[in-house]
Amino acid sequence: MASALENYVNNVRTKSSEGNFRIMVEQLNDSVEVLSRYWELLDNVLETLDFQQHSLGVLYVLLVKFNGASSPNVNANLPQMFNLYKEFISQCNGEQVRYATYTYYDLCHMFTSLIVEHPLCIQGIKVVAQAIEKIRLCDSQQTSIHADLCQISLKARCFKTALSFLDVDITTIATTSEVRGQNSNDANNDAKYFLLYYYYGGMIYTAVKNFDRALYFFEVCISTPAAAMSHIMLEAYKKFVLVSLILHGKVLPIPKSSGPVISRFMKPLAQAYHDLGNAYATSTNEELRIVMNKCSETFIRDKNMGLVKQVVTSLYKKNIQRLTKTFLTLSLSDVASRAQLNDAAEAEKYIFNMIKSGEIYASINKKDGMVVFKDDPEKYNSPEMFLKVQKDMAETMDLIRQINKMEEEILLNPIYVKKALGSQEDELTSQHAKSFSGDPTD
Amino acid sequence: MQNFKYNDLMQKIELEELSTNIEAEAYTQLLAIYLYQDKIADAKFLWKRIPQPLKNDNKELKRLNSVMCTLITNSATKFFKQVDYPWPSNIKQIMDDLFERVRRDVLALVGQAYMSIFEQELMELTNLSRDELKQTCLALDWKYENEDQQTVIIPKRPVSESELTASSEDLLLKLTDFVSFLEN
Repeated sequence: MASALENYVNNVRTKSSEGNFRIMVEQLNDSVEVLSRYWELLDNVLETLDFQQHSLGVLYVLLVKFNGASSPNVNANLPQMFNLYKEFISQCNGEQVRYATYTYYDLCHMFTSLIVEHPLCIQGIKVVAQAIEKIRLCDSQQTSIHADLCQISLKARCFKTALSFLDVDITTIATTSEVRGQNSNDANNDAKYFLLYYYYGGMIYTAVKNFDRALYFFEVCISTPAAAMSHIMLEAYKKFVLVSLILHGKVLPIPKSSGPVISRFMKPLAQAYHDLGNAYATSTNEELRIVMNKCSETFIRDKNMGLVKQVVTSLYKKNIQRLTKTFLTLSLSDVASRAQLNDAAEAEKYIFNMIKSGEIYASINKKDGMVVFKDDPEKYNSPEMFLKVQKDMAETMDLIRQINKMEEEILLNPIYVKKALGSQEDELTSQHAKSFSGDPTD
Repeated sequence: MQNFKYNDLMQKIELEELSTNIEAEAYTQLLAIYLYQDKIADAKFLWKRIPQPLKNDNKELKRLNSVMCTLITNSATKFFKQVDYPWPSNIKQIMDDLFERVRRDVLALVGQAYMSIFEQELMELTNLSRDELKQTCLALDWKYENEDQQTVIIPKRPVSESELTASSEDLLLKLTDFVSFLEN
C-alpha cells in the first residue's frame, strides 16, 4: 500500500535534482488524490523529504495534510501543523514554489482558516507575513495571501505587521487564474481575495482611526469593476457610508468608476445606513438618535454599532465646528444649547478636546464664560510646514513617475498596441465613409 | 524625541508577543509604554488581546486599564487619581514618566485653549497644590488676577520655538529639484 507513497517520494527526488519543475508540477497535481488516501502516513513522507531541496514535493504533501485537517472528523494536532507550516515557510525555496503559486496560496488560505479561531492566531501573523515576502516579486505586489494576513491581524487585534504591508500602495497584483486558467472558479477566488484585502484593510485602518486611508480602502473595494454585486462589496459600502460621515460629515457619492450594477443595488440594500446619513444631514442629534435606535438591530447584526456611535459623537463636533464659521465669540452656555449639549461644562469639555486634536481653533475665557473662535493660525511660514510641503511634493513626484512608468509599460504591451491600432483603423475607415456620404456635391 | 524613550523595550516585547506566549509582566510593561508614548489605539487593542485569565489575576493590569480609560476620555483630573498607585518596579519609571508627560501636556494645552482659567480648576487639572501651581505659573510667566473671591490665571500662549534645520544651500538645491521636475 505504501508503494504509491514511495513512488511519490522517488519521483520528487529525481525530478528535483533534474530541475524539471514544470513537468513535476503537472505530475504533482495528479498525485493529490493518491496522497489524500494515505493521510495518516504523510508524516513519514515528510521525514524523507528535505524542505529546501524538495520544496514542491513538500508543498503538495502539506496541502493534502491541511486539506484533510479541515474536515471535521479528523482530530488534527494544531500546534504540530502550525510548526510544520512555519518550518516550511522559512525553509522552502522561493524559486521552486513559484512554479505552483496557486497551490502555495491555497496552502496559506487553509492555514489561515485553520488557526484563525485559535489562540495561536497572533503567532501566525509573523509566519504569514513571511509567506508573503517569500512569494511576492516586489514590495508593491499584492498577493491573495495579503487578505489572510489582514484577517489574522484583525482576529488577533494586532495590527503593526499588517499596517507595514497596508501602507505600501499596490502597483501589481499576482493572479492565479492565468496559470490554472481552465478552472473558472479560481478567477472568482482572485477577485474574492482582492476585495477581502481592501475590506479587511479598511477595517484595520478604521480601528486605528486612520479614517482617511480607511475610506480609500473601502472606496477601492466598492469601485472594483464587477458584473454582479458581491457581499464583501456590500459590507464595504456600509462601512464606507459610516466612515465618510465621521470624516466628512456627509455620505460621499459612490465613485463614478464603479460598475452600474453596484450603484443601482448598493443603496436599497443598505437602507438603514442611508437613513442615518439623512438624519445626519439635518444636524439634529435627536433625529440621529431616533434612527440609531430604530435600526439598532441591523447595526448590531452588521457589527457596525461601534462605528454608528462614533458617527453620533462626531455630529456634536460637526455642530461646534459649524458654529466657528458663524460666530467670533459665543458664551459656553450658548454653545451648549446650539450644539444640543447638556450644559456649559460639557460644551467646555468638547471644545477643550477639539482644540487638543486640532479640529477647531479657539480660546476659552473662563472669567467671562466665553469662547473666542479663531482662524487657522497656520501662516505657512514655519520650517515644519516647509518640510511637510517638501514631503508631499516628493510623494507626488514619485507618484507621477510611477504613473509614467506604468503608462509606458502599457504602451509597449503588444496586445494593447494591436487593439489600439485596430480601433484606429476602424475609425479611419468609418470617417472615410462618412465624408463620402455627407458630401454635398454628391 | 522623548517619545521614543522606551522604543527598544517596546520592540523587544512586540516581537516576543508575535512568536511566543508572553507573561503578564511583559504585557504590563508594553501597555505602560504605549500609554507613555500616547499610542492610545495600540494600547486599547493590546488590552483587548491580553488573555482573559491574565486580566483577572493581575491587579496592575486592571489598574492600567482604568488609567487608559481616563486617557481615552481625556480627563486629566481622573487620570491623576487613577495613576496614583504603588506600581511594581518594572514599570515604576515608565509610570513616573507618563505622569510627567501628562502634566506637561495639560499645561501646554491649557496655555493654548484658555485665555483665562480659575485657579481651582487648574489645580484639579494638573493635580498641583496651590503653592506648586504658583511656582509653575511663575516659571511659565502666567499672570494671576483676582476676580470676586476667585483667583483667575491668565495663561500665556506658548511660543512655538522654530529652528531652521536645513541650510539655505540645501533649500536652494531642493527648490531647483522641484522646478526642474515641473519643467520636464
